[in-house]
Amino acid sequence: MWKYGTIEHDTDVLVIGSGLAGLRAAIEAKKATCDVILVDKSFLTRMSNSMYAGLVGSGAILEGPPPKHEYSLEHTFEHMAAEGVDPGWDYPYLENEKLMMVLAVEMPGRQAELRDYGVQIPAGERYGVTPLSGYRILIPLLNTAMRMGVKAMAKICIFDLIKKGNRVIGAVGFNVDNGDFVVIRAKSTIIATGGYQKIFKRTSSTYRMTGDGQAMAYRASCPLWSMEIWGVDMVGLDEPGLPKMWMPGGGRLKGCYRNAKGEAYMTKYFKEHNLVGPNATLSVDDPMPIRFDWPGLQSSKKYPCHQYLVDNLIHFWTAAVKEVHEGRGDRGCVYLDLTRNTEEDWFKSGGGVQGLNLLRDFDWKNNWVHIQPLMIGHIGGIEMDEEGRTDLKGLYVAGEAGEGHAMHHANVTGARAGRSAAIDATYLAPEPKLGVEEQAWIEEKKEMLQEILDRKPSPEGDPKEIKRLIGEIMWKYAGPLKSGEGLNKALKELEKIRKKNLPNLYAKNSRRLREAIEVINMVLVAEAVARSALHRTETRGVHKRLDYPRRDDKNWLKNVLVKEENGEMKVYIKPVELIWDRPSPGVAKEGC
Amino acid sequence: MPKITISLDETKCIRCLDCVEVCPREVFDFDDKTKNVTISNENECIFCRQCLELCSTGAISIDGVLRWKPKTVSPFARKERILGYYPYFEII
Repeated sequence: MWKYGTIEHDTDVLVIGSGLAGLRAAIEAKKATCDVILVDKSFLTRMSNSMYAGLVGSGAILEGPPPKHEYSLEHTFEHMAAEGVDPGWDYPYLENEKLMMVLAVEMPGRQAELRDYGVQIPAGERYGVTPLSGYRILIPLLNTAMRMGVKAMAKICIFDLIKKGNRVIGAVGFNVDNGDFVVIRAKSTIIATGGYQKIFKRTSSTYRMTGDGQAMAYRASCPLWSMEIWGVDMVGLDEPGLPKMWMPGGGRLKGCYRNAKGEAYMTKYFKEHNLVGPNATLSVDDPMPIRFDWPGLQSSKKYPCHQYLVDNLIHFWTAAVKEVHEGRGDRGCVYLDLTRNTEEDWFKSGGGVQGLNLLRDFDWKNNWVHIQPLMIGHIGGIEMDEEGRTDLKGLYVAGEAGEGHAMHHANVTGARAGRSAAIDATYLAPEPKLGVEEQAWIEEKKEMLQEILDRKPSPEGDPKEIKRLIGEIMWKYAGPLKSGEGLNKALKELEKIRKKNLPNLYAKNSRRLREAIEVINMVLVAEAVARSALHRTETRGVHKRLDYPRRDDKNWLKNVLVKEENGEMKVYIKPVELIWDRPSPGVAKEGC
Repeated sequence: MPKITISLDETKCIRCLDCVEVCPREVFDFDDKTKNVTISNENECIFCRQCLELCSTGAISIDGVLRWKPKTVSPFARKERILGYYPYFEII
């Protein structure tokens, strides 16, 4: 028997998650005169990736398209198709090209719209100048949403979607503060819950990014798309006593990457891979932006790096993991040598000051900092189309929970999903009435939660410990460098967690119950990630397999999807719909 | 180099747990036995200052962080100064 109360809500559109995508969707749906409920499992906006955008997605909203794509729409789109939505990412020809086309076309307009909603400067602090770089975008947006009459509820942890046939008619959750069970009936539901970064030990994301949206959709038998495509940035600090955080660019000004032998290995890597441009320089004495084409300074007049040395950030972490893999690393790390930075150098930019803060009392003048890759984001998510529609009627996806990442993506898909959800709610959806079956299902869910609350604490069932365990397993066996053996091991370990730890999962109160629910979601998403990665038997951009080190355009211009069938995770593939540019078949690009 | 200290005044703390909720790096923890908020993970702090912003009694303080401040104080600059956006720095 559920010991807390039950509260029911009725609405046209339910938006789960209050990051940029969620807020945009809520505002858009409200503009179309729908009743909108916006829920978040934590404080509104505060725990979203977009709040920390500068630190999470390097594609924080820019004034206009990213600097690399400054020419024309065709140019922009061509780059997106070949490299992914953001420069610095690499997952060639896997993206949903229709969605990308929409992004390329709508990005500037949707960004200009933010001004109508009270955002004074619709551009995040680029490239992690300070933490909280999304503040100036999200807080005005939240205020606008509230003013428009969006019903916002904080600390409601939604954990499952109510399904009636092939239509989603709402969601169930609970109040984190007082434990009330919450049933929200909605004509259409938008998932904007963000990413699943936290399944990896090393990430710069907030710790609430546990893939709840993906897990919910999966349980409602929605396919998850390309879960294996996730990326890392290499400049993650890994020094005892320092935060395991991304080092902002400003601080790396005169820095140099070195391996355990003290060699500046990037020079060798660039030469080996023929990545040296005509105007480039490889002298380690030059500032990093000039040597390495640091994207934050690409368009800056101060640094005359017109010719890009490397056009893709992926090479930095590829080189780093290669060094470590070949035994030239120190406890899994390489070094960032900042000894040539002077005191003044740090204060030239906001990133520098933040970098200095992160380094705290570390003696950077005389020591090299240990750095290791760090997961920053993922492309995979719930399968969606360019309107935010999913396989299920009445279910829409926006932002990172769906396909793609970065803030301009959240902005565009949020607006589009909000609009289509509103149209659905206004014209198509029937009244969301709970039948006998749905009521029984809700009771079942209540019992499931009650069971977790009733269990006695045991070391195996500690949610925090299991979270840590998942992070360790995924980073160790399914990390930046993957192999069939490792991925199988990861799956085995996850199976062990599912059999041994999940049945003992306990929670003392509703606050801890949220952690428990997150653990359940994380295990599921981690399995989806590992299975998809195991299935893709090639190396393509950010997906690096040691046992299949070549890119295979003949067989693998396909997306890997996972779906629930009879309680099991089924993996299947779908050919990519190439509508713009066709790569010449058989082009083999060597991975690391 | 700045020596950064994070401190929490237990006499001022009202156990609203907003800091535990809002910290993106799990710096704070609530001890169920002693019913106190503890700083369990100080190393992970990235100085986003959300806890400072939400703490209604001012129990939390972070000292020694370099931050940006605006050159001139204008009504528009106030919010930016709190969050630190303009390219002038000071040690707080």
